[in-house]
Amino acid sequence: MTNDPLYIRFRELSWRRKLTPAEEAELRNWLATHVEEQADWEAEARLSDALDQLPDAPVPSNFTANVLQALQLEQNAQARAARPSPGWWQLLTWVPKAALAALVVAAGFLFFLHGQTVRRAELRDSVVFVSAVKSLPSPEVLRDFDVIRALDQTPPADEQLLTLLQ
Amino acid sequence: MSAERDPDAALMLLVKQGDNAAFALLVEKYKQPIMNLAYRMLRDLTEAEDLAQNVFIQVHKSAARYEVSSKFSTWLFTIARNLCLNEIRRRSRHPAESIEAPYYEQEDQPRQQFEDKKITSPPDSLLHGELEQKVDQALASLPENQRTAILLCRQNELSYEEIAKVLGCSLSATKSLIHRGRETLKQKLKPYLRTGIWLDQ
Repeated sequence: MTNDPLYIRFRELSWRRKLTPAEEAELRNWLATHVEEQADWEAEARLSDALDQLPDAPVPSNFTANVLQALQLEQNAQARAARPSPGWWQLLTWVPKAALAALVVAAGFLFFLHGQTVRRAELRDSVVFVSAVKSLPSPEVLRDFDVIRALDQTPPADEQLLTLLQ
Repeated sequence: MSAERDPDAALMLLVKQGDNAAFALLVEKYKQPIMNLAYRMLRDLTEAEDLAQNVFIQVHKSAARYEVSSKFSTWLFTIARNLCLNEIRRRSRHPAESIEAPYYEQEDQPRQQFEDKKITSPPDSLLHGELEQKVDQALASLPENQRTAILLCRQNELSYEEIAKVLGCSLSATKSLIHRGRETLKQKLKPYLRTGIWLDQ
């Protein structure tokens, strides 16, 4: 294979594009004096043609629309990510939790109030009951209380003996 | 390289300012070359389509950081090649997984599917001839960097310097990759290239 700069230049040009008629003519002149390179050049030219004739990959007609749509989705996602946090709409997510907590506190408070009311009613009833007693016996009544109480502690009468004595 | 000399870079600067119409123009212009590259790299039409879409989404995402330091197409093909390499690496790690699986599990999957009015069946329309298949197979058997270099070479948009930038190697290394790749192709396709059957079809 030759290292002639002219041939190398044309060969490299042919890798990228078809030679112009003028370039082609110049190359043919050169090949006329370098017939040993003829076969290499033919193979190069045919390979370039073969590569040129490879069909394009089919591009769907909706390709651009799909790209733009995918892009729109990306931009929407970025916009969502860029929003200030927390926003007022995010506070809405706390509303149900806050309402539940308030409900529990209110229920506890009502239960406490109910307990207080019940206790007060019981106290009131007790006071009414005590106030219903009109008078207590005088202390004189209790003067012989200890003697009378001691009487209860004497042993029971021997009923058999009492019967015999009668 | 300035935006005046590269109309695509000028469009990209508009995209940077939020102009989605300019972005749509770029997608329209480059969807075919990007699909071709992705398909020849991944050899799966569905995955190539997903990847090509991702390339453009990546372009849009990177618009804010875009500076006109080289041609737009160089930057675009660099992104495309990097995503292809990522996908090839991912495949080698998880051979059974489809690229679509994680995408459609996402919450933000497309709600609306646009109908593809162009009815094409990839295996029939894409490889309708034995010779095309042979070239396709020969191309697929090349090392990735040689294959990419040859594919980019066929893009009229890119010069050798720009191809070198996409590949991340020197100009001489790029030409060497193309030369070696083409020599391999010539060897593999020798019977067809010699007889010229391809040209007669």
